[in-house]
Amino acid sequence: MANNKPKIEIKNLHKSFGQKVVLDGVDLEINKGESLVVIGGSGTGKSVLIKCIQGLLEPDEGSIKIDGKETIGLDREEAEKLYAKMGMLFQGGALFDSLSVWENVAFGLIENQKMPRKKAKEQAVKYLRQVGLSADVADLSPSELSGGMQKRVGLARAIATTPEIIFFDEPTTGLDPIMADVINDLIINSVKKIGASALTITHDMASARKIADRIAMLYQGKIVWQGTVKELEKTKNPYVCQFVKGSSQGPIKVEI
Amino acid sequence: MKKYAENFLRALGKPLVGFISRLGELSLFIARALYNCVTPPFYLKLLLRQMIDIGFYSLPVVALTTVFAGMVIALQTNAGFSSYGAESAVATVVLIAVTRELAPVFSGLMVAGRIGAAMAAEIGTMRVTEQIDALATLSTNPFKYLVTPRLLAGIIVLPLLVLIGDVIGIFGGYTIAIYQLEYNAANYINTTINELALIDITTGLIKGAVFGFIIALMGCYNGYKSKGGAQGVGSATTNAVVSSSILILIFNYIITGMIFTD
Repeated sequence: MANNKPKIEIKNLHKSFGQKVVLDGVDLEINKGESLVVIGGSGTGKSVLIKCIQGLLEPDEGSIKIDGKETIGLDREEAEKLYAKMGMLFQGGALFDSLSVWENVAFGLIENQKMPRKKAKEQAVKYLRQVGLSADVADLSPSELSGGMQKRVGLARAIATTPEIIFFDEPTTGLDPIMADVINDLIINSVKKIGASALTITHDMASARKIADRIAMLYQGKIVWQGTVKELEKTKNPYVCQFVKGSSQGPIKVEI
Repeated sequence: MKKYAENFLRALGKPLVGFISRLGELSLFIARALYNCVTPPFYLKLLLRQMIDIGFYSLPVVALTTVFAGMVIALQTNAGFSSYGAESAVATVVLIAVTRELAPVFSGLMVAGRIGAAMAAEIGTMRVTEQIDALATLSTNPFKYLVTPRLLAGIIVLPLLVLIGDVIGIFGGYTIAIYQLEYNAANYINTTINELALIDITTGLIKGAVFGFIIALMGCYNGYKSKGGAQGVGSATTNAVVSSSILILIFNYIITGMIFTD
């Protein structure tokens, strides 16, 4: 029974900033080991959705259950335990620039799992190899790396704590098409390897098609469509069609 | 008349509401910071690094400002008191001025410029590049990791800087008195030691601790709440330095008033 429960279950999620309604009743489920991609234009609340699930923002209304357990209103200790199960790859990498590359990757291992530094470094180098970086970069500072390498280090950091849920915030934005595909492959491999559930937000359709088991489209704070990649190709949903084609004509109005 | 009053209140409204909400935000920030100061986990290594950053690397600027402050006080006292036996007055005035006021205020202002700005810029950059969120996703409390070590380091280190500033400032006054004004060195040292009271030193130390708290608090608060990229970090830095400098001078007056008025 427990296995049939979705890993993350979001119901009727609302979040506003002042007058601006960002999430207006989002319903979404992510199953165990599944890779869900949420697509949508800029400013449709994709990042806010992730931040709500991670507990970085407090939603105004609604429910977020993880493993069947309500996460909103948890006390500090339980919340910390819960969020320790999550990892995240940030859009800009968000590497700590005061630390070296390996210290970044090993951050969760050293600070939370209290692993000795020497062992943590070995682990960090292992994860760096896994994302295709050599041991030479371990002692560099993040600012010495290219954008693509920073993304890889960010990915290594996100998977180093073997989280059960990983979030990817526009993982391919700002990368050339080939590097983007390399990152896509790495995401697929690393997520499969640790058996995590993944939630990706992106507006890069090539990336979405490649890494998604299922795709959901967010528009004006609501999920307007969801389905598998195959269903995406066949759907007549006007929002999805317009977004996939990248056309300025259609039901989606861009605020200028 | 009624219309004028209405317009006046309306003009007052938005800034006033903004000010009060900032005040509330700051109070919450202070409460959260203090709570995190006393609950584990503690990051001793980070505390130590901050103490070295704030304390050790501020020594040159603190030494330079206090030595010249002591020197100028010696000159001015000599000029002002020359008709009524300046020789004994210079040592006493230098002692009191440096330990009670000049060493703490100059150390505070110098560290505010050096460290408050750096804190706001570093934490602000971490905020806008999502590094603070990244800390949280690696289940590290950003408050404990970033704010607490800085606050504690400020409170611990500033009094030590003030102490060192005391010694250097008095030494500055001494060099002017002996080598330029050609006073008797033994008399000068004697007067300084005889006039030295515990209250002078403790006043400086209390001020140092309060100023250290103010500097770290303003640096961290402005950095933590900054938003909007490079411009946001820039204004956070400015705000941190300006607000901590003003607060240092205000609290300098308040503490002096509390200690030296019966």
